[in-house]
Amino acid sequence: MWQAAWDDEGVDDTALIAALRAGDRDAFALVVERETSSVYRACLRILGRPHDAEDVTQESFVAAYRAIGQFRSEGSLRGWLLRIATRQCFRRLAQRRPAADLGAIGDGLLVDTSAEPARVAVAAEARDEIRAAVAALDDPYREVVALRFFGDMSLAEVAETTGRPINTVKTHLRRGLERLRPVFASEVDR
Amino acid sequence: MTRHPYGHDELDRVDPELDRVAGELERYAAARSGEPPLGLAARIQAAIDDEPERRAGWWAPFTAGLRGLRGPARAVAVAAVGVAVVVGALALGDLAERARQNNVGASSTPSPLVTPTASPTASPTPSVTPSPSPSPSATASPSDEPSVSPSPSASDDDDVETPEPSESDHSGPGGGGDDNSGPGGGG
Repeated sequence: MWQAAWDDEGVDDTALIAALRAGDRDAFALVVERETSSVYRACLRILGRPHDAEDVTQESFVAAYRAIGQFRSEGSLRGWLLRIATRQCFRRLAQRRPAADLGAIGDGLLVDTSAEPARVAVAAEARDEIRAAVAALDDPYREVVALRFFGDMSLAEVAETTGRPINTVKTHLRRGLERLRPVFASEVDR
Repeated sequence: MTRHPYGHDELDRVDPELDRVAGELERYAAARSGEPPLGLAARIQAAIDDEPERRAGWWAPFTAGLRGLRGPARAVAVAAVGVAVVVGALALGDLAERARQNNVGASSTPSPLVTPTASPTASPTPSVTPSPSPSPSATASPSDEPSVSPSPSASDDDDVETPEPSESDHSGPGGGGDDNSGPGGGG
């Protein structure tokens, strides 16, 4: 039954959410199956390292399972999961020691083996700067920017998920982008 | 790959600089859109399986209906639940009162349900009141002024002390009213 429901993209989540709240593990298994990719991608974009992204993706689903009773049905299940995941990611970033970020450069080298090492290193550094700049934003702006670009959500979805009016979300996005402008200006200078 | 490409109208203003920043973020995200490793979903599921089983509370069906509502509709629904709880409590009190009266009429031993004195400190002496008016005032002030009720008939005087052992057992319905209001307020 659940599988058929999931296959239909336009299906309302209501019945599934009711099953999740009732502690139905099968229903949650389908949520995991369907949303792991989007949650993992968001984590990877924020954290930069695949291994960390895997860990935080798992932590996020476990946190969501524990907190499913608090889900308020005001947005999509995916949005709720992505919100949990982005928070977990920024928490993980805050715990990370600066020296450990060297691992992300190595990851960049692995991804693009055809390019010159120096260019790859510079690109990886630039990616680090983008991640660090987003992570350094104040919270409402950081959350909106992360959900919009790293979580690949529309502004309407962000508004629904966060429970904020759409115009407030637009303002948060604009202010977040304004604060990121210097980072990208320096990118252009390179 | 991007489900929601950035649009120039998202900020409700024309600002090529901010559009460029948004474009850079979008490009960065597109470059980091790898698929998760194959075993990740299974690993997550195993972690979920290790979690203790969740069980919904008895109030879940009530609060679940409220969660989908927003703003005024939610307030109205919460108020309706509150009114329903109060009306239910009053109806229960009324039923208890009637049952008590029936019992008093049939056998002079008062039913334990009659005694609304929840606090054990209240003196139980006049609590057997076969009041002529069936008003639900039993729930209003059960312990403060038991002497207000008219004096019972002589035959009831003998039974005055009998309900004492069962008072604590049957203070439940009164307490149940309070319990019901909790989840309603929380929802």
